[in-house]
Amino acid sequence: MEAKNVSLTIDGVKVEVPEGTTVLAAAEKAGIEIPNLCFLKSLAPYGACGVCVVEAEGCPKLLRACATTVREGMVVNSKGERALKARKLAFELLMGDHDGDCLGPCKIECPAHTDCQKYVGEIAEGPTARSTSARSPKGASPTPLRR
Amino acid sequence: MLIAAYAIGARDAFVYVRAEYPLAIVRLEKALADARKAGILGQSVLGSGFACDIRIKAGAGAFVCGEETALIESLEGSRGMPRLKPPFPAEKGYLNKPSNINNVETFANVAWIILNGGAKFAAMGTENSKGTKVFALTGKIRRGGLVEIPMGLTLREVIFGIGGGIRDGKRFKAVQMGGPSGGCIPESLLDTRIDYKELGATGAIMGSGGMVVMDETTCMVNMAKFFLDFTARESCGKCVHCRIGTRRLHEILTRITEGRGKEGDVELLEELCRGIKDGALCGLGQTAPNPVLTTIRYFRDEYDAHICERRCPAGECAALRKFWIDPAKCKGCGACARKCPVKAISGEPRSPYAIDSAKCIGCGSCEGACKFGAVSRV
Repeated sequence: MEAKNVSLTIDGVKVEVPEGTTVLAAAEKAGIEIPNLCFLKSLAPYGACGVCVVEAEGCPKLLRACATTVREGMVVNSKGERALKARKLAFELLMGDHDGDCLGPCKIECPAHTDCQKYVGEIAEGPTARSTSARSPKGASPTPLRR
Repeated sequence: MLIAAYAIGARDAFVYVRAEYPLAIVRLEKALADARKAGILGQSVLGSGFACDIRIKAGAGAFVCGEETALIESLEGSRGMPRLKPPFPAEKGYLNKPSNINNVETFANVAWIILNGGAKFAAMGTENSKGTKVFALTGKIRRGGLVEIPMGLTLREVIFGIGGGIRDGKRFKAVQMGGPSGGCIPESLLDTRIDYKELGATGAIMGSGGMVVMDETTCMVNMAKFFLDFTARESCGKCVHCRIGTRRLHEILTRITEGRGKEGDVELLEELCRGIKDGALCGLGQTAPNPVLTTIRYFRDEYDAHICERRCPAGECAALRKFWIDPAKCKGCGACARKCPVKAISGEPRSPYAIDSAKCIGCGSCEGACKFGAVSRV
């Protein structure tokens, strides 16, 4: 039996996908990137990180794109102010809590504003006391929320 | 429960009780055994041919297991962590089967309504909230305990009428409604009726039906910190907003109560609270910021006093308390000096003692030790 198709709109782009598809997969098909962290294609959605949240018309809550299946006529806004804010907070909270376990060398500016190069360099040079000045007093990365 | 089971055609029913309530479990077990003996439960309920049995599941007491999908996870033997919704339990619940999950109080109402009719039930309460509700009245109240009241009574009627007012002649300050993730309501809103909509408008919730009454000696910032300490520890850890967000809230509240608050902390708290409410996965995280938001809304001056003046108006935050010995009342007995854990009190016997405010940690031991009422808060 052929699966039924469902059509929806994401960020103004109309897209048709088989029933049971997630918003995230539908967006991918429409060429729209919804950022995500805890989602892994080969596993069932877990929905913990809160980075993939999107807004949907008529829905009072933010939806996790990785775990929400599409409905006929759904109008999704992946770049609404509310979604972006929640996404930013989720990322900020995660970054603020992580133990400097990121993969080097840095390809973008550090979101936690840690000067790792300086830190690693100073450890190599010797006096470890000085090297800690490159780090925040609490944890490896100064958290945006511990400001 | 049997009525609900019959209505939806369920064969298996469970009562989820915290294992910490052994008396409740013993009584439930006896009630179930009696019901089986009487033929009310079992292969043929009251000879109708409809089969249904109720079992008891003792939970380990995690707060989050009050959330329906976390409860179902726990029922299945997994860790109590909420599932993503949808699908809701009515579609995929226990063992992925459609399930009906309700509070015991709700089920108890069903039997009453069937016996007495819906009209009689709806006659009690307000336009938005019908019937009665059980509250756990506690805190600085004269008569605490479980009270069942018709919806629509005002908070003042419950606290000052049924509860008999505030203990020890103190002044009422606020009531925390709806448990640890509810909100606090100030005196100016005491005439709010107990109704889902009206309570919601104040920023509080009906929630678990908890009603904790606080008097003038309670610091609202410390109270918010207390509840956030609870929710941060009870957070199951699944979603980021709740796991990390509540911890950050607690950190900021802690530094405010310890006199290390910074300007802008209140705005930071508000921003974080709104973000957590929006992004958290389940009810625990979505409601956890309520105590913070409502205390900021109604008691902003107390936050400002802690942050700008390094002062706790209620005199509860130990780090911000300072004590003083009235030389006119002090008999020079030295009881306070012996109790002081940091030796901040000095003096000669039979002449007034004095507290070195630089050494004082604000623990209040001296206040309790003095028999003459000479120690007071600055």
